[in-house]
Amino acid sequence: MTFNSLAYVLFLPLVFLAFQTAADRYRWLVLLIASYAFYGFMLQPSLLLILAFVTAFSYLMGKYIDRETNNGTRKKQLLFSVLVNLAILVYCKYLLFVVENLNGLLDIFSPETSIPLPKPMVSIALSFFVFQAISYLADIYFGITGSEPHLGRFALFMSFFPKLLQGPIERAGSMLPQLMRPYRFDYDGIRKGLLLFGWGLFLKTVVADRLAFFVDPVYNNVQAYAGIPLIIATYAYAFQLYFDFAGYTNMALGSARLFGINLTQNFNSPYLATSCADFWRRWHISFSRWILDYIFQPLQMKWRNLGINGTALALFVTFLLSGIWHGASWNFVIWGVLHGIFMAASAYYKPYKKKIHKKFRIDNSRWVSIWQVAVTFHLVCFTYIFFRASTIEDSWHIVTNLTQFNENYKYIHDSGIRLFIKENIIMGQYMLDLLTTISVLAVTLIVYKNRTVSLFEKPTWFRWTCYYAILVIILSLQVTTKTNFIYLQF
Amino acid sequence: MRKLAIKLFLFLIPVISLGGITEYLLRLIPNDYKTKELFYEKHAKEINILCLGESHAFSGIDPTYLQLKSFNGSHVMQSLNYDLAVLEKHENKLTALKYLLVPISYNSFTERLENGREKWRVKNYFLYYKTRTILPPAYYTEILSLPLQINIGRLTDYYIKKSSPITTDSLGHGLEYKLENQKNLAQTGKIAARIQTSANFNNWEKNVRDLNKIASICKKKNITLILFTPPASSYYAKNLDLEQLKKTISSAQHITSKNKNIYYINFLHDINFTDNDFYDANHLSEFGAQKLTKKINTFIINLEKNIQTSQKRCFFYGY
Amino acid sequence: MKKPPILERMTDVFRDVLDNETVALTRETTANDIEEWDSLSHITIIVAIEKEFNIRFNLADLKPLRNIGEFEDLIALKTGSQD
Repeated sequence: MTFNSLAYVLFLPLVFLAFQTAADRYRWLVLLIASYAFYGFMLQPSLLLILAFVTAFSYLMGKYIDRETNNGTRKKQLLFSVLVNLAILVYCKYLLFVVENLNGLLDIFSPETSIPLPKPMVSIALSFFVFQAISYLADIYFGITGSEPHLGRFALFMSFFPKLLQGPIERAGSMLPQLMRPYRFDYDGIRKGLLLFGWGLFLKTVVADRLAFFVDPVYNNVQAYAGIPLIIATYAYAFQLYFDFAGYTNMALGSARLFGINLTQNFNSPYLATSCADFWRRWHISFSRWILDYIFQPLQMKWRNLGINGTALALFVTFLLSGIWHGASWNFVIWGVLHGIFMAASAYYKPYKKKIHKKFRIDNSRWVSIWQVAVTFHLVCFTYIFFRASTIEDSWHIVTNLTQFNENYKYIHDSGIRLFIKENIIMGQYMLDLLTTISVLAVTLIVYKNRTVSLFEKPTWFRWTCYYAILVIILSLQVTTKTNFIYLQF
Repeated sequence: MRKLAIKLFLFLIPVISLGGITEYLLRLIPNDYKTKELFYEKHAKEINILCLGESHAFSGIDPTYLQLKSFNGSHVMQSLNYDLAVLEKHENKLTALKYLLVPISYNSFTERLENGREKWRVKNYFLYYKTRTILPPAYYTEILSLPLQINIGRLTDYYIKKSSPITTDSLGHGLEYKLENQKNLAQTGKIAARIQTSANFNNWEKNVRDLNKIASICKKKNITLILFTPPASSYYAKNLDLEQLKKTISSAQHITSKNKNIYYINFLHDINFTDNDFYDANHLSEFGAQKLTKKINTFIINLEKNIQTSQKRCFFYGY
Repeated sequence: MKKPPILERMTDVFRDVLDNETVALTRETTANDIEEWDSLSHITIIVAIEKEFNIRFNLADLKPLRNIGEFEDLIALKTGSQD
């Protein structure tokens, strides 16, 4: 089940009740059973087995590495355990892609032979928990954390249902201590959790899914469009992706709060970033910290004698790998490569930037910041073309047709968007909904610049009105055609 | 903890009570499913000819032109598995049933209601026909099956504007397919053909299996099963994917060959049906329904009189 | 010739790499306290420290460090093993 389903709305209170009524020493067990049940709902028993295996394997290897005093052996153990984890991930997620491309190469040399295609496997959550396991093992190796002696708690750390499907990727150091604390009933935390959950549900079902109406008709039929629709669809996608993922993250954090667990923030106003590097400090934070700590830093260390070239190369490779993590397709690789290029370029440019800004005395200028935000946003939007398009041909078509303004006006008029809306049940209200959603969102964002803290200081009638307002808006404006979270596919 | 429970309870009371009242009011609204179920309860024992199926049958079969006592039990988007469910629900009461009409359309084997565009309709079978199937939880209620705005619209239409949402006449024939409201045949033909052309045949086996189950019920009760491919305008027929069409026809023929009391009539290219016989490219108007039903009536009468001399059980008009 | 204490030499390296003569290190200083200390200058600092003290670090050595004090202790450990 996903967070935006009726099943989850029924599941969560049940787990909460069980959690509250259980004795404190069994609470971890309640959550563990709930997490495996949650994952089991996907009806993919092989995934449960893989999760269990990765959990047990990493638990054991963690113990060995922690106990081992010989540095050489420790390193070998770490490499071994990381490779096994990666092998599982590659096998489940990338085998089909690898074989397809090998066949493509083989076609050139010997057209008759081809490797039989393996069946594509569902790999939801795999990328996330394998990465979390690797982070656990590496942190033990680096001496940042000790191995967890309690298998049950470790299994919960790996499978905790609020973060299982799409992260955040948690660090042992931040989550394991929370699992060990005795649970204290926290009324305020639960309130905040519920509100956060509701807010996330709003962002996903009312805002993100609505934006999809502008994105899907274009990106699902790219060759029919040129010019402005492509631009609008790409901008819309930038916001759809953000609200979708941020919505999920809010629901995850809110769900976890109900059980007294604080997961890590994944977003921090990403589109206000002033550079690509800044963007990655604000977008999918748990993931970018992961690739920073476990890919970039080791590489940068390894190539440190190449000076700035070493750093640039490390950045490039890191983001290339990040692209691959996102999906078994060349589009994602290109997306990663683009970010790698931008990051490497900014590494070269950065020392000069400071000097230039100081020289022209614009280092604190507001206009420069606005300019930087705009440029960064557009660079990111450009990379989204590859992130969203289904094939390389589609991405190329978009890139080469973004500025075909003359022919395209007729595309707006008999555009697929209109036809799509006509075929949709909700169509009559569509424009009204969109305006309502945008205004509600705008008002709320303005009011909540100071986060939820200020809401709880307002009088009860005000708070309850807000709660009812969110509930009514979700019920009346949610997009009901079946939608999945975008990051579920990664 | 106590405080939380009390506050939650207080918060949810208005929500749940409003929800309950709305659900109750929605269920009271008359609809085609309730109407037809009521007919079954009162008259099932008298029915000689029953027509099931989807909107093609709903628009195309007018029981007034059938000489035997007939009822049109079809509904919009009713796929084969729901034809089966309705039949199974009532089979013990349909003691006089001699002929079962089931349309085999271009999308009969590719689509299933619960996987389709209007899957919310499954709630009608649970709530009004009281068929017992496992559904996603939302579809056990009226209020959660459709977007809130639509449900509010339904409530205002019925209770305030006093307009009735019934679209069927007393014998089950659909009333909304009037020639005076005819849609553009060329446009609807293209769109319908495109929507009904399926990218995959994932539902095929299941649908064939369900049709076989219908056939075996008919065999058990000595009911003649008449499969028919309804007539359609050329604007629709010429846009169909040939592979899907061929596969559909051959599946129908295959089932027909397996049992002596199954017949298959294909009206798709029947030139007797002209533009005025259509409401839109793939649905008959009241005049087309009259024509089609009369043809089927003649066919049934010949069966009754045992006039069929050849062993042929598949008939193609206009090929 | 006795070399100046480690902390002083470290401060010189930092000032040189960060191009800022006002940088002052204490044992409690962390990366957050110094504005120019980011991932780029970080590695440059590491390389410069390695050169200055003629030692070589592993990532495993550096990861757990939380402040300048621990860094100083690490350098002492590495140079001490060469005396």
